[in-house]
Amino acid sequence: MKDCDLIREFLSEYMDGTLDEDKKQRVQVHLSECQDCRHQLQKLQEISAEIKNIKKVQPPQDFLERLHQRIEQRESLDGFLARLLKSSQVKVYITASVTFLFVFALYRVVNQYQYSMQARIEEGVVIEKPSVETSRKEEIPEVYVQDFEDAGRVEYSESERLVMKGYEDKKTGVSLDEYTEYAEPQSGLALKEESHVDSYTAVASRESRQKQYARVYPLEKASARNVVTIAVTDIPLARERVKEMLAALNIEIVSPAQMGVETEGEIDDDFFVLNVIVPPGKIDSLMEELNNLNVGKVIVSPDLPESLKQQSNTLTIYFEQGQ
Amino acid sequence: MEDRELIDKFLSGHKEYFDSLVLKYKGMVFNICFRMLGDYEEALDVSQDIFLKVYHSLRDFRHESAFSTYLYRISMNFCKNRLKALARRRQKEPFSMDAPVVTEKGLLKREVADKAANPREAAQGREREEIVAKALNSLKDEYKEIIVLREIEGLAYEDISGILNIDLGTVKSRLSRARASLKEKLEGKL
Repeated sequence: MKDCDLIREFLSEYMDGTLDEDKKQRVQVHLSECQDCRHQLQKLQEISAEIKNIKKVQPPQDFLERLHQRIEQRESLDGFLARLLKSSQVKVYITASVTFLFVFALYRVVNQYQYSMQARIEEGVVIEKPSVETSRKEEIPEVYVQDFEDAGRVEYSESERLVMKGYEDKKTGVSLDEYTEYAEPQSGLALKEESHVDSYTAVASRESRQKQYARVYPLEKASARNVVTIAVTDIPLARERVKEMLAALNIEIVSPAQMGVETEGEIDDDFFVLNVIVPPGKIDSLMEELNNLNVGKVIVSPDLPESLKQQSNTLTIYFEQGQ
Repeated sequence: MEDRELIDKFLSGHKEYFDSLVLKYKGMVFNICFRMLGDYEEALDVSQDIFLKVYHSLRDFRHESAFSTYLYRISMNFCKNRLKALARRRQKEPFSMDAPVVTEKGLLKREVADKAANPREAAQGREREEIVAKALNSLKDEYKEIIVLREIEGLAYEDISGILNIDLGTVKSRLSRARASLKEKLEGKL
């Protein structure tokens, strides 16, 4: 039976007379012994003959005239376009239109990117834009709460939160200055980083909730970030007042872009992060206003870099539940 | 006059020599299109597209292969592209052949136009030919093209290899599979 399969693969070439002598003889010997394969060959030959006998179809009599018409149409269109492009006025219009379309497309792309970022923020993912100095890709290893516990760097506070500080894993090279988990801690909870560059966005899988997101900063990079923390008693109130103050100072909020959109229930009332873009020269008045608001103690640690005064930069404002 | 001479004259500004090329090859191109597409009007449209393309790109033809090989290659590419476009269009506009058409005069039953090149064909007892043509048309594109080139155009394996840009081994195995597939489709019908 195996032989038949092999021989049948050769039948097409056998028909066409293109088999080498060895294979041809092998096929012939097999055919003389196997009626089935002889039948197969006969069928193939019949069909081949039928196809060869299919009558040719005649193209219409005016085939050439039709083609001439199409060629002329095409040439007159090409000529029209060529004349059009020769006119310098038209060139200016076309250049202007193309430029406009390009700028518009770019605007749409940027806009869409911002929307998708915002959508992710609303889902609960904290996203940091990579700064220029740290934008190279890094391999980010997995981090486990167990590791922090082993290193004795875990604090359990009364408000059921887990704070892991200054942990550095010699083996993996992971170093983190602080990780805060706002729920009952679970040993062995896996924190998987998404590949954002200047901060580790950690995703902790939990049984009670599907996903919980938190943020873990590498130690050596913490100083590169511009962070202000406000310890407040009433986060929703402080949030509103800071928002009003920022609007008055004309400082743009990057994320959450539209604070008012979220319903109260969806905002974590124990913790809130705001990213803003501080234009050059505005940082001092911003810090002053923050202090004047009297919503809570303003902590700046580490100190904000001098560069923030000269050039526009992002500033992260943390609202933390104070005493 | 040889193809090369016709082409050179055309390229030197004598447009009328292109007509000679068209008259020489229109039957071949049209038949390939008709067998590949299975529809007279589509075949006419695509074969005109092919000559239009040749008219505008002949300047780039380097005579590295015979003009006929070049023409076969363009024809096959155009046909395959049209088949893909037709398949996409069919996917986008699904409709039932049995559903009646709504007109001002009421519902009309849909009838399928006879796509045979010559309406008398069937009447003249060419039923076998029609069955074979239908089976050929129902083959998948890569089988259809190799059967057309080998059986209908009678081309050598080497030429087919050049036209389809596949190696000789692939020509052999694909042709063998195409023939087997065609035999299967015709099982009990002839």
